[in-house]
Amino acid sequence: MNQRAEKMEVIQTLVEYTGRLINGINEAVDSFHEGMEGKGMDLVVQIIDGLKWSMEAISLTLDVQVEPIDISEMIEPFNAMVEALENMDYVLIGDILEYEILPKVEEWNQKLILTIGA
Amino acid sequence: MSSSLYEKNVQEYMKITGKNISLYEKNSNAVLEKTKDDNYTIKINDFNREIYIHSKYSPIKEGERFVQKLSAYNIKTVFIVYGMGLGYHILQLLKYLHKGNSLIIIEPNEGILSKAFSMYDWTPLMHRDKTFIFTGTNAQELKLLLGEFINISNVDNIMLLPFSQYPNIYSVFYEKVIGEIKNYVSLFKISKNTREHFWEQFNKNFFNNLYSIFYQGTINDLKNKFSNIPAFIVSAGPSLDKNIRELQNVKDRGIIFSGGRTLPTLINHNITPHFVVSMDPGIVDPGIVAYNVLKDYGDHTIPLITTVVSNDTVISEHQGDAFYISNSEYRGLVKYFTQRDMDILPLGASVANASLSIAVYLGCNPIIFIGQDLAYTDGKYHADSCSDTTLKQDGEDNDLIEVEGIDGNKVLTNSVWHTFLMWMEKFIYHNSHKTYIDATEGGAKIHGTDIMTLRQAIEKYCLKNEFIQDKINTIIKAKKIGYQDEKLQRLLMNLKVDLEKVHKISSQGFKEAHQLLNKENTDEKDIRRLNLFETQLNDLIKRNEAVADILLRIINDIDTNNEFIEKMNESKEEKCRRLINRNVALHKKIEDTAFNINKLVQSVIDQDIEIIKIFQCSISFV
Repeated sequence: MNQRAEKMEVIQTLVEYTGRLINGINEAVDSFHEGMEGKGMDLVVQIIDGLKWSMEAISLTLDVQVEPIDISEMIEPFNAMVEALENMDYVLIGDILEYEILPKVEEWNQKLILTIGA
Repeated sequence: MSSSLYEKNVQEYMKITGKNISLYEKNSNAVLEKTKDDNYTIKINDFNREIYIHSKYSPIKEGERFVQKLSAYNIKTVFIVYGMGLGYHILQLLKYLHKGNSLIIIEPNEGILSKAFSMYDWTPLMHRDKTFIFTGTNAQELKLLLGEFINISNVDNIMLLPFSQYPNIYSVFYEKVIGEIKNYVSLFKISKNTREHFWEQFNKNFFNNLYSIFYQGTINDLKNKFSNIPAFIVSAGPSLDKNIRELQNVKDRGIIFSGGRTLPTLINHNITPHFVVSMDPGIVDPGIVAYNVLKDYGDHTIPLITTVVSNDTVISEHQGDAFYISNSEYRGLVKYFTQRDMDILPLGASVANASLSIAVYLGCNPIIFIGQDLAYTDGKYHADSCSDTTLKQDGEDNDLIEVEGIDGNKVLTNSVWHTFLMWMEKFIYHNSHKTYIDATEGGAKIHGTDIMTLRQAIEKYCLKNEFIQDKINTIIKAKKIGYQDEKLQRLLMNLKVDLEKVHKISSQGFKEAHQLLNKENTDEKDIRRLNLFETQLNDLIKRNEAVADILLRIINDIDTNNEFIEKMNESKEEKCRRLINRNVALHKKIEDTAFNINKLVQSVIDQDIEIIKIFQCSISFV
């Protein structure tokens, strides 16, 4: 299998993975809104791990992406998330997930689908 | 944001609560911050961490989400919202409330309420019926406020809605809020269960007591007859043994009220109370316990203050005069039979609660408590001198609550005593024109009382002979009623006839409602037909106040049952189904009750005939 084919396979995996990530983020947002902070925080830990893996995979496959994804957009929300976690501000954690991270992951997912379709 | 809007809110809030919210603005830890959607959020500095109260992206969406959590509620649900913030969620919630819904908003941080006042005109909310914005973290004030809203009819219909992360930020007060709500729920559930379980017993007691009620005095005979005379309310707490002997020094310079449990102890110490107070309907504990203690002394002649539904054996064995207090559910029956005024007093859940209320009604001042530990002093349940000090109730060990003691240290109490304590504090708060002294010398702190020893209280307040016994004797003499048995017979017969009519109407109403249970596609015509039965019952209710008492209680119980209260946005089909179920339950209950009460009425009629026979027999022998 050539390198491009391997990268396309990674992108296929990324499409599925970011789809699951979107569901996980929505679930975490709902948990914070329903006052289930414990469940929300468990999900946040998994979401951060998932985002790290996704960003690495996106970087490695940048040259085959039809619309290249700029992962640096995620730096600011990440920093805001670290501060919110330090303050245990669950409203802000939910906000960052819903209004900063989720739209970006949804955008990544769309761009990755575009690459597969091309 | 305008300063005139802020002032308007502040002034109105001050008018309602007496609290000036603008005073909290200066040292507030809350700051307003613009949100991404051009609204405002609040950021607070909580122990050097910054936390948002609302979303900093879209607080309006957050408010809309808040109301999505609303599940099964009805038009009488009491909503308690923990956290006001800037009130986006409150505005959303108001869209879903019926005018019958009560709303308490608790904002622990006055600085946040101040910010909310600068954002929106909250005066219509402040004026909304059954609505209160509570602010601060004073648990005692909260307890009193909840007492205004939670009652026996809505105790199963309360919805606590914590907003955002308020339970985390203000967690200590949140625990108190939950605790106080639980206390009220427990208090009213005790009352509700007592009422439900004892109703048959209450009815039996009432009719068995009827002769005595008819001929004896009413509490009104004693109203304000003992103005500014000290009252001593003697309870059986463990501390009673410390100072009971001091009571011998009261003599006729203060009125001594005893319950059943303390009567033998007082008599054994050569102290004769002026009144014995008995409230127990007396079938299961604690009634039976108190009755067992009292029964050996039941034939005393000390005047008894009791209710129309108190234990019939206690009433029949008592040899002295009695003064009756009416009961809200027997007011019409009492009026029907006696044609006299008989007041209803708030009686609480214990004899001491009732004695406190009676002492205030009689005009007494100050009111001095002894043996009112309301806590396990030295690990004891009651005073050694009173019976069954070792009495333990099931699950008691799992039911310990820590409360403030008279010396400021913590003492252990249980949920039942805590209920008595709460009732007492609320009563004292609402009757603050009197002086209350806790001379128990131990136990739980009763807020609103001054603490002193019994000796100090007697020395300070029992300064002159009040000729109490003479006053009581004069009142008893004035209240005597002549022979009127025929009148009572006539009233009993009339009631019997009307109850037979009630029974007939409800039997038919039940039959028709029951048939509709299995009918598909019921409509408003069916409901109108069912309503005819209730209209006929209403005619009887209007005509006969005794029938009104019996039926209105049942109707009220049915109409405060969540199952039969109108749901928000219910469909026509759901409404029909609910009303049919309501009619089934209503007519079944009325049918059974009318039958049972008629049996009691008949037994009093028979008893009266027996008395007449004996009377005639004794005449013929003469």
